[in-house]
Amino acid sequence: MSEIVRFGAVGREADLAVAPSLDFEAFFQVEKDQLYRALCLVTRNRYEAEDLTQEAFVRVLERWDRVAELEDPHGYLYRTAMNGFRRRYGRAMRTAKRSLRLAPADDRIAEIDERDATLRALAGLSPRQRAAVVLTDMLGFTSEQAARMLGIKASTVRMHASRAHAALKETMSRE
Amino acid sequence: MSEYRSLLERAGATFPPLDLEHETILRRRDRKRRGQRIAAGVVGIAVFVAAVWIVTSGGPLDRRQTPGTEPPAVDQTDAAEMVVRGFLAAFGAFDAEGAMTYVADDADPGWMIGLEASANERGLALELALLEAQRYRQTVTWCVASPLRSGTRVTCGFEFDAIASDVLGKGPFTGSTFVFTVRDGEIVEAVARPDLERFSSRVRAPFAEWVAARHPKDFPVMYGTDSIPSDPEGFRYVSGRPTEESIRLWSLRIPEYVMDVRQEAA
Repeated sequence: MSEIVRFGAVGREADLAVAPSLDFEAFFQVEKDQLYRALCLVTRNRYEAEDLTQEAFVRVLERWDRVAELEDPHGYLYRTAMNGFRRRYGRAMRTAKRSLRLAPADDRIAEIDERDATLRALAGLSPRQRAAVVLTDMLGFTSEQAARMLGIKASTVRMHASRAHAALKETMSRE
Repeated sequence: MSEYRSLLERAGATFPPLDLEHETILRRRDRKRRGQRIAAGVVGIAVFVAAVWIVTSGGPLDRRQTPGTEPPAVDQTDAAEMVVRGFLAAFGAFDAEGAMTYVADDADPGWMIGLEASANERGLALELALLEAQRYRQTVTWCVASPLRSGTRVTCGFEFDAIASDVLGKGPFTGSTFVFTVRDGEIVEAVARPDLERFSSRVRAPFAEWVAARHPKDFPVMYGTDSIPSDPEGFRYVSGRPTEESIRLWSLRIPEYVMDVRQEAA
C-alpha cells in the first residue's frame, strides 16, 4: 500500500470509493497505519497508540453494520479513538500523583525523538495540544470536528493548535 | 493544505508501520465478548443463588415479611465481588490475559497499582512479569462491596511480600487496599492504595542500595533512573521498570541478594 493511500485524504477517499459495500477488513487496512501514527504523535507512546488503535477498531467492528452506512466512517473511527484517548488522559491526570510506580512508558521514544525535530517540538506540548494539531493540521478535521472529538470548545482547539504551530514554526526556522 | 501537514506526516512516518493484523482485531473482539459472557455468567450464578435462597428460605416471597426490609433478589454486590476476586486471582497468578477478561474494554488498566506501562494486555503482561521477577506475592485478606448509584464499589484488603521479603522473614506487609468500581459485570476503574511505609524502609531501600553497590550498571536498567540516588532516602522511592532486560536482571539479582543477606547474617 502506498504512502499516499496511508497518509493522503485523496488516496484514502479514492481507495474507499472503489469499494461499493465497504468491507471492514479493507477499511482496517487503509486506516490502521495513519491512525496508529497519529496516536503515536498524540500519546508519544507506541504501546499506548497500538492499544488505542486496536480498541478503536474493535469498537468500530462491533458496530460495523451501522458504521459502514455512515457518510464518514473515517471520522467515526477517529472520534472513537479520541474518546479512548480522552478517557485515558483524564484518568492519567487524576492518578498522576500515585506513589507506587512500577513502570515507565515507551523506552524508545527518546531515541525516536532524536531522529526528528518535529517530534522533539511536539514533546514540549501537552497531549491535548498535540491532539489538536494532529487532528486539524495533519488529518484535516475542522476545529469544530476536533473539538467534538476532544470534548473541548472549538476555540480551545484553535488555541491549542496555535501553540503547537508556534513550536513547529521554531522547528521549521531551524531546519 | 496546512503548512504543518508535511512536517507532521514526516514525524509520523518515523514510527514504523503498525504490525497489526486484521485477525488480531477479531481475536480482541472475541475476547471482549468472552469477558462479557463470563460477566453475564457471574450475574447468572448470582441470580440462581438468589433464586435458591428465595425458595429455600421463604425470602421475598414470604408475604409475612415487610417487603421494604428484604434483601434484593439479585445481589449485585456479590456478583461484583466475584468479578473482583476473579481479577485479583488472575493478577496474583501473573495471568495478564485472564485478568483482562474481567476488565471493561473502556477501562484503563494503566491505573492498576500505579502501573504506568501501556493499558493493554501486553503492558499488563510486562508489569506482571516484573512483579513475578520481583517475587511479588499477594494475599487478599478481605473484600467489602457496596452499591453505588451506577455500579458497585468493591474494596479489598491485601498483604504482600516482594523482593524475597517472605524468605528473609521481613514480610508480609499489611494495610494495603484495592478499590474497584464494577459496572455491568466488568471492572471499569481501580485504584490501589498500597501501604509502602514499612516495605520501603525494610525491603525496597536495602535492596536498591545493594544493587547500587554491587551492580551499579544494572541500577538504571532495573529502576529506569538516570542516576543512583545520592541520598539514602532516595532509595526508598525507586521502583522497578518493566522492560525485558530489567525483568531479567530482577530475576537474577534477587536470589543473589538473598544469598548475600544470609551470608552476612551467618
